[in-house]
Amino acid sequence: MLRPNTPLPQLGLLLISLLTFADLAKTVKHENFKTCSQSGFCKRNRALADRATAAGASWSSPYELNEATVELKDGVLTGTILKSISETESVELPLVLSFLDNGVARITIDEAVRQSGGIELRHGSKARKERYNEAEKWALIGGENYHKEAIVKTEEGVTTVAYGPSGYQVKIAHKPFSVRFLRDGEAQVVFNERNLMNVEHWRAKKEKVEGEAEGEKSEDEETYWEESFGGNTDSKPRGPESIAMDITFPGYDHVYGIPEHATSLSLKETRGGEGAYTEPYRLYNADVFEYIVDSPMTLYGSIPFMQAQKKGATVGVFWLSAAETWVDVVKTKMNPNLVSAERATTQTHWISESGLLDVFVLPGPSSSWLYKQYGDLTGFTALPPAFSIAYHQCRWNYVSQDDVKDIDRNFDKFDIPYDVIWLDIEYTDNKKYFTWDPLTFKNPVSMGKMLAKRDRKLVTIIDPHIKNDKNYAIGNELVDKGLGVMDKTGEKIYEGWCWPGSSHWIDCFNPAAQAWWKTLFDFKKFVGSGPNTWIWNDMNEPSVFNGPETTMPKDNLHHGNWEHRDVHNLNGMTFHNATFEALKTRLGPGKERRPFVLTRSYFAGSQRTAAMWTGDNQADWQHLAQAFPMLLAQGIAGMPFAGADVGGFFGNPSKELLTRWYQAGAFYPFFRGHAHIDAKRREPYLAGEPYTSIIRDAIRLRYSLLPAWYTAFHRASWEGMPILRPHFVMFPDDEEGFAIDDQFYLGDTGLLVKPVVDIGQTETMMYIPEDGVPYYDYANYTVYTGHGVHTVPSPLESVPLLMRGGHVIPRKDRPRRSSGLMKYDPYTIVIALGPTGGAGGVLYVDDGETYSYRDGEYIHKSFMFNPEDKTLRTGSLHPEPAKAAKFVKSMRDVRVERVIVVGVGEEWKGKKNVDVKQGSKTWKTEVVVHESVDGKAAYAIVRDPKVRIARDWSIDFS
Amino acid sequence: MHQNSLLFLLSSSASLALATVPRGVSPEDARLYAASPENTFTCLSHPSISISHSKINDDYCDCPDGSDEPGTSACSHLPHANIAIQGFYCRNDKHTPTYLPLSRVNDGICDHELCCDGSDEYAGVGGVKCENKCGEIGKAAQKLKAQSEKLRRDGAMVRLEMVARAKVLKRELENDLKATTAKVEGIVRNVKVLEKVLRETEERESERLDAVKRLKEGSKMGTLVLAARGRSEELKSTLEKVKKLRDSAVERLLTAEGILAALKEGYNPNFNDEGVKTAVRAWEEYLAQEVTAEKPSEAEESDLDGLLRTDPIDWDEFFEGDVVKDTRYFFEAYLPENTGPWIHEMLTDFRVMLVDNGLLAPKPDAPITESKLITAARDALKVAQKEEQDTRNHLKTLEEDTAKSYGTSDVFRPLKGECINADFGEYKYEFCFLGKASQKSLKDSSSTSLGEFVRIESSTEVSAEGTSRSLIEPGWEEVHDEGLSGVVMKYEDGQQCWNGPRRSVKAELYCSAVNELRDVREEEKCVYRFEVGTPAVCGEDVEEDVEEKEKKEKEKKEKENVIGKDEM
Repeated sequence: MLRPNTPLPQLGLLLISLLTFADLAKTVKHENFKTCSQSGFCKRNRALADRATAAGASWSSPYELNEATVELKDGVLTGTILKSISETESVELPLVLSFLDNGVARITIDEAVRQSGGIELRHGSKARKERYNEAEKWALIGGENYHKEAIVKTEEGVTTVAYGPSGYQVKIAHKPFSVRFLRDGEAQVVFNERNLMNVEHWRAKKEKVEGEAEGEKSEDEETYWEESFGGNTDSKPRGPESIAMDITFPGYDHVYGIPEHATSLSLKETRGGEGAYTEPYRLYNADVFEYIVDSPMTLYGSIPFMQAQKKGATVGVFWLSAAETWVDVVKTKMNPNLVSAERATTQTHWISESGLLDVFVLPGPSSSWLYKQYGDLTGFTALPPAFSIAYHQCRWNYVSQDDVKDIDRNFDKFDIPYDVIWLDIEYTDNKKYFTWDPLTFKNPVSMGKMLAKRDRKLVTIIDPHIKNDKNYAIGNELVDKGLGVMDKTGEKIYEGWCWPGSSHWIDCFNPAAQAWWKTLFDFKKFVGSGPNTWIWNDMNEPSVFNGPETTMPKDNLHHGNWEHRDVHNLNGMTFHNATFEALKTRLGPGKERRPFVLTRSYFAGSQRTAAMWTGDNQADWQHLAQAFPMLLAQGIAGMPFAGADVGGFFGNPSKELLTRWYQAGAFYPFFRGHAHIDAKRREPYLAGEPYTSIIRDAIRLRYSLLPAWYTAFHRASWEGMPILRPHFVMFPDDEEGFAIDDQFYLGDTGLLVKPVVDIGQTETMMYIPEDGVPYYDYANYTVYTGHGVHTVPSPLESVPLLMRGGHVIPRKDRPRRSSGLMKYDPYTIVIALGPTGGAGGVLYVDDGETYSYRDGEYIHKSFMFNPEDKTLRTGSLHPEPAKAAKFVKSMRDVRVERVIVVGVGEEWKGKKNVDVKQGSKTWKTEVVVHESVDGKAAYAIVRDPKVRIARDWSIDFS
Repeated sequence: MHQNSLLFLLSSSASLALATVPRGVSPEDARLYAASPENTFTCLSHPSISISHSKINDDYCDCPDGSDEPGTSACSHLPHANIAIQGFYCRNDKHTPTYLPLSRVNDGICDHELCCDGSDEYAGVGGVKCENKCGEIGKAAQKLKAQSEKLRRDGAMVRLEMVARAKVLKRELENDLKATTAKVEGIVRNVKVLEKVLRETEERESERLDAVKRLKEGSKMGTLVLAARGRSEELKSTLEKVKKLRDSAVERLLTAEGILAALKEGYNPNFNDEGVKTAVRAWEEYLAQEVTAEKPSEAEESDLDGLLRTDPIDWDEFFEGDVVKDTRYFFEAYLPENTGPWIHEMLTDFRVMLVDNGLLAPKPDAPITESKLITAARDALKVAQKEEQDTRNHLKTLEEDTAKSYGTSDVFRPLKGECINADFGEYKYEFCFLGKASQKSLKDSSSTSLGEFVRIESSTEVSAEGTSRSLIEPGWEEVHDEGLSGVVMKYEDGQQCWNGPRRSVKAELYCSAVNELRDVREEEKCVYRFEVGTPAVCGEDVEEDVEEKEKKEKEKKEKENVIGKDEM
């Protein structure tokens, strides 16, 4: 204002701040990873899509189902698709369409000439000639309940199959080939609607003929036979062999899933435009250094499962390919003149480098059905050992045994619970796994015992790269037994670089390698490990420091001579599966324990044996905010046991960020603090006041809710319901909530949480759907009602956390040093009354470490508060209670110390006693009713009703 | 357990009848738990909340401050700040009574290190039974205590000797300081005298020279010569500056190249860091270029030095040259170039000697040279000035030493320069009191500086004398942290860390009869924490420190008040 040229300095300042930001922001090294246009097959298929779009109606697809070959038998339809490659020639592509009882359908397309091995490989390669057809062996556990009563009918070039639950139909158009999946006559999923289907058939390489015009090639053929990236050349012995399909979800305007990407829960479009990416979502497990948020770039794991959601209905597809895969997403407005103009159609385009075209369509139509269908195919998340859902303390690295003891002692000194302490790579003797540094970890057995005294555990890292060192027995065994991944000749073990320097990689596709791996975890072999030692599998993408895109060359050969290209995304899973099997039986026959294995790389099916974390994030607010959408996506894709490094791996968090991160982390299914070796120490007790106390409270909140968490894990383990439930899963009719990914519900508890992920945020806007239900603040019972956005106070010491009316939450309010020490502690039952005064909930309890629950040794209880007679009743959900006798006996003294009823009416005023009934006995117990003040709900606390958690009982409040 | 706890409830109410202390309450606090006439108990920090006296220790948390449940874990969920009691009181007969955090009551773990009597697990959770180990633990603890007391006593004796020695050293220092101060004064006087001598000599000589030297400065040539001389001197000084700049630039370049060479040598190729890899690659390319880069040859370099050292033009000569002859009349002009100045100097000296001794008349057009008298006076002054400088430097060192903090009672003074060492992990660590700290690899014996002493600080980390945990759990004796005095020596500015800070050491001192290094930990990357035993901290230091702290705080507050007022 004083000077006429003020705008200039401001501009300068802006520029400077922009530059500074660019300088300081650490970002991923993009040049280390391919874009679609640098990945030959992706570029070719995207170009095909562009040509098809440009051609419009004149575009013709070369694929036709040969009507004469179509046959349906016992729920499986077979036939042959002909791909016309010239006027006279065509290629046979065998088609299998299978129909399952539950409405799931599967399309598999292969290539006849490769099935029969009638192709020639270049460079004298030993690689297999078939298209990779073993992904199902690793990913699936089910999918064979064929609907044998399915009915087929063919007319006017369309084959229709009616199958599964009533109203399910598949209509296969023969020319061009396309498949429509219908429910009650309405298409839910359509394959090849846009005619982008592509099966790159095998062809011999035509050597260049002199004088042939270069420009006549219809496709970009330069990447057919050889591809180089970052100084590595892929020999591609089978030439081009990609598969692609366009999959349309008519009327579905949101799609979710296909982790792992640092992006929003509701997937953005990928072909440009406002708010859209320009690159497809990529699935190619890779060790991405310093990954960035809000990007479709590939990360460490991949699950090619996508869910589409529209108002009132949901549907899913599972693209079973372990090869490098890219997925384009675009949305088209159906009819802009409609009032519900937001209703769009989502079109996706799936592109994989090799293997079968193998896709499952999961019909839903509700999320809970969909997740069950997906779990029936790939398995449900393992019921984890109870300790593993408590708090984990990690750092790269706790440098010595004394260091570990010191951390342990300080947690006790500051009265902060923790269950597990972790050792990163430095504990080994020069990165030789299954060894200990002889100078810093002289007596790991005593360390393990010391931890066991307070029921704590140790997790040590074991990676798949095995040091290439003549003096390392395990390394020699790997080579001598031929259990490593081979190079492209298939004759020499592959050698690359990782933490130990020169290394080999165990090939867990090989059953012999799995068996050998199992032997290594014997306490006599892994000397220093003990029954409370569990394992962290890192770098299993695999990460190869000097490999293309920091991983293995695609022409490496695995067991059975499958190319790495075919199996890449499965690699991590085969490794953590092997570790899981080894740990399960460590104590000997009949003494199986539920293992805890953390993995960085994963695939569909990994949920059966491992937990995952989101890898090497950074200590900044963006990464804190990014974690929740990622964890929600993990839940959608059936792998809910997931977490992000609390505090951020790279860099040093401010105390505020660290504190907020603990509050957020208390709501991660996998809750672990971790830090990079160059970062400052940041154990919670180092933060100082008030931070340490706030962090202690956050960790205690997690411990107090462990019964609810464990119950949520239990439901996920047999029904596949996500542990963190996004809005759209809870309220499939509330379109306003479909894109919400910064607040979510915890299991069936009705706890709605929106951890603060921004600096200095003393108020938080929370969205409440149009469910007509009161929401109570968890700490002070302030009532929030009504559809829309509510302002919830969120000073540093509090997490915005609401209890949805109508739910019951089991807790244990005695924080101990570790969760194991809470086993016999009494419960607190919180009842948040719904709009009509009722509520219900569930509790699941078992021994938390063995498989005896499979024999019925567990307690599974319902809590119902009936508004009619104002009585809380428990009921058993156990189908065969007699089988639980032993466990129930061990729990017989565990009582309920307190029942809190929130949202009680006027008529409760003055109530002093309630009637308790357990078995044939009845007695009176004291109740204190607190009246409603300042917008806070009235509530009642039943004081020590002396009822047992293992028994059935009722409390009559009338 | 149900039965057990019922039994327990019965027994606790029975004990009430006997007016004994509720479980978990110390005898001193027993009166707080006496029943009121109405048989109620009032929460200790919430006078408005009264509950039935029978609700004390009934395993249900009634008081928001936890005071009704001193003997159970029922109130353990309360935030620390809200809890009004110290914890669960363990009587520990035959040993020291202590308080156990409430969350550890009946958790199935015998917390013998705090509750040696096993009273914390009275409910037998999960079947646990804790025996009373106070007998053995008490005995061992007493032994330990006796040992540590003896150690303290011994240490305190040594400390007294150290303090005495420190006093002697301090006195010596002060004497030296006094003597040196006096010496400086003397030298300063002497310098003044010599300065005066020089000045007078110079004046005398200059008068004499003025008489013989007539400059024709008014002439054209004179003006030119004056201007040229000025210009030449200007060029010379600029050249000098430029050379200095170049030298420092070269030095910095060498340092930078050294850093890059070390980077290339020392970087870990396993850490797949693009940034580092790029830097190394660029450095290699740079090296390749460097071969062809121009470097000044030695000859060129010495030419430059020559240019700066001597002025080949005798400007004064030109003042005379206006009237005087060709160079060919001077035989020196025919001498080889590099012998010229030397011969000239010899001749001049000889001539001056003759003139000084009256053997030769002063030459009116002789080149102006300094007489021996002046040189002698100047040399004498120089010697005196150097002595002054040296003595002042010594004085400064002494003054600094006097001002330096050697801890309370100056106790660390005698430790200066004393070194101790010990092996931890793969290194031998050396610690020199008030000197340097370093580590030596046991594998390849390479040595790394961890820093040099900067100051003594007081730490918040004052820890209790050994808990009895080490008596109970084998393995714990390896972890120390016990008996730390709160006195810390900071060492900073050690060798730069790869991808980290300069190394530094925080040495926590504890009382020990001898100097020893009992623990080394790398707390952060390249930030070390030593535990160093020394008699110097056996004694009253801590209290004195507290006093000092209070004093400082008071000062700070006063200062703040002043600032506050200023702002008003």
